[in-house]
Amino acid sequence: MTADEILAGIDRNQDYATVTYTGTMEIHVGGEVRVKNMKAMAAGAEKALVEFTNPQDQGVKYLKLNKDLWIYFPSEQDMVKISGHMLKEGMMGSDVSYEDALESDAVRTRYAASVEKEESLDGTACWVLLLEAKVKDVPYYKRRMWVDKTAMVPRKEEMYAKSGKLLKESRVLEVKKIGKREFPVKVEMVNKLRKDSRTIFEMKDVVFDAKLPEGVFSLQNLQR
Amino acid sequence: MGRKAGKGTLGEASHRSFCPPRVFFVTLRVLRAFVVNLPFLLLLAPCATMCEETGLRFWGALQSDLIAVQTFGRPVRDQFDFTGMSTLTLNAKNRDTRFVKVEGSVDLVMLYGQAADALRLRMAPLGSTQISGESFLLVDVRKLYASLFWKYADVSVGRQIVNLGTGTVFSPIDVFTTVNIADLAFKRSGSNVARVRVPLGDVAGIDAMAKLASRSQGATGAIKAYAALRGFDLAATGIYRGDQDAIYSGLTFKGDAVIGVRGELVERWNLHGDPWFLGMGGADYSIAKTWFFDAEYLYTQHPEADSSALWVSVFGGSLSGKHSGYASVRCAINDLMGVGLAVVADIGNQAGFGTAQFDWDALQNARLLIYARLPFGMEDVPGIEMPDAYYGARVEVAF
Repeated sequence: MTADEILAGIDRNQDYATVTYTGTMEIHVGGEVRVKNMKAMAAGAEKALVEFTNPQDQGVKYLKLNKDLWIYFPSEQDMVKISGHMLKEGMMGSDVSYEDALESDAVRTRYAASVEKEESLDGTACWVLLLEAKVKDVPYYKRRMWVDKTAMVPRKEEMYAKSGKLLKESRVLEVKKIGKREFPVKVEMVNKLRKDSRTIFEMKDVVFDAKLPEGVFSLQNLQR
Repeated sequence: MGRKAGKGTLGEASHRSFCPPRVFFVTLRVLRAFVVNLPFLLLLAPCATMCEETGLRFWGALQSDLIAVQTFGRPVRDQFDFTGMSTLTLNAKNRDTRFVKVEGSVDLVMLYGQAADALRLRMAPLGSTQISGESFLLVDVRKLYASLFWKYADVSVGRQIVNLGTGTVFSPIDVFTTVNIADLAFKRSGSNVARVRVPLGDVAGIDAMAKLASRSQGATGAIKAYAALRGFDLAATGIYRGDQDAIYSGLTFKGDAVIGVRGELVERWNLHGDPWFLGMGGADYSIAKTWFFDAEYLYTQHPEADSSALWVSVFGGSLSGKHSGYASVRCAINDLMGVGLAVVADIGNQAGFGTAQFDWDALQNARLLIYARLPFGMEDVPGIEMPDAYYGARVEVAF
């Protein structure tokens, strides 16, 4: 298969009109662990609404609309647009940056992909794809992706800066079959620039293609 | 990150002589709020288990501050005194907010030490408001409102926090809600309003509100049209303040221009006088996800004539001037801890205060802050000797 065909196969698995789920983020920093709970919904890759439900962040919400991101602080009933320079900052102190969360366009449109080799990863046969940015507006200049040949799911990904420095590494810890899709429901993101810094993101109660209320991805709803 | 606040208003300044770096609205207004809302508070605690079945969610936080205050110019052993406070924040909201929302938020603040002594002296003529001999209790009902969500409009009535502007510290367009600039988090007070929000698409709408006030207090109403366009949040606002017989019109924006930028341009007219201008400009930037910078500048053309431009020092004086500024820098040591410096000042009169702070996300749902605050150039309140420095430690636990 060509790289484009492989990426198309991945997209088919992650092609949904809407998704809702509850999730947890385990943030590991230097031996300490912090857990954030959330509920989320998304419509395609352009719209998403996340609300945190753990006590310290109860009611804090994020709204993504295309490339814009707002955060709502319920204690102050205050809605704030996230400035561009903050997008590389981790969400809620995690290793998942706002930029990672905002990435919406298909990888194929912004990266030139090629099959670098085939390799076994944790006993799973994988294609190793090399992706190099073909546009400027990308969070990582180069990415290397291990794609499960059977499930058509990226099992591991390395993200590089233009200098070649490894910035982050993500690993899929669990894949679930939901309907006809193989979907990664537990992912670990490791910050390679910091010592002992990783985030484990887990999704539960995943439902695809549910009908969502009108106006749910709006500034009005964000402030409700 | 990104929190903003507005300016405090005069009125409660005089009693704040020994207040630690957190605000207090200690006046008859608080006393009245305490009495009126006491039934709500008394119902809240024992109701917790019952309300779980009726669909209410409760959460909150407890903060405890231990503060040493220092007054220079004395023998060393006489320079230090103790003050402190514990703040219990209780929040409640119905679980199913698809069609209606009921929300309440109250801060119960117990003061002790020097701050309690000072407030007790001032409140004595008004009757006893203390809970026990050495302590002093304050109550701030920040939110107590109901909202109805229809397809074409949301209606909210009650006490809520209204944010009309974009400033972190200064917001000349924010006339409804006061900000405690002495609070480490620039917390805002609530305002009794009726509010209607009409969406015009996903990123635009109209927001209209009116203060729930008596005839003697004067009517205040505002209408704001907002939209997100090309990466900027834009808004135009018109306000009428009956208590001052004044009209405000303002434009606000927040967005990106390499750095984060925000601003407010406000023209104010007294109905029987000439207009004058207030303007706020701010910027924020970060480097390498480690260094975070934020700054704001406020210009008030006629501060002596504009009471909303007078903002209160926690130390008892008031700061008002044509040129005011705020600047902060924070260094994230890692994702759990950081250090920061912030200054709020009346630039023209060279008065204000600086704060140094270390914060640490110490445990799940627990945070520790260590801070020092130094005022400068502040005028003493007659009869009150104000401390020259505050050194505090705060433990905050969320539940």
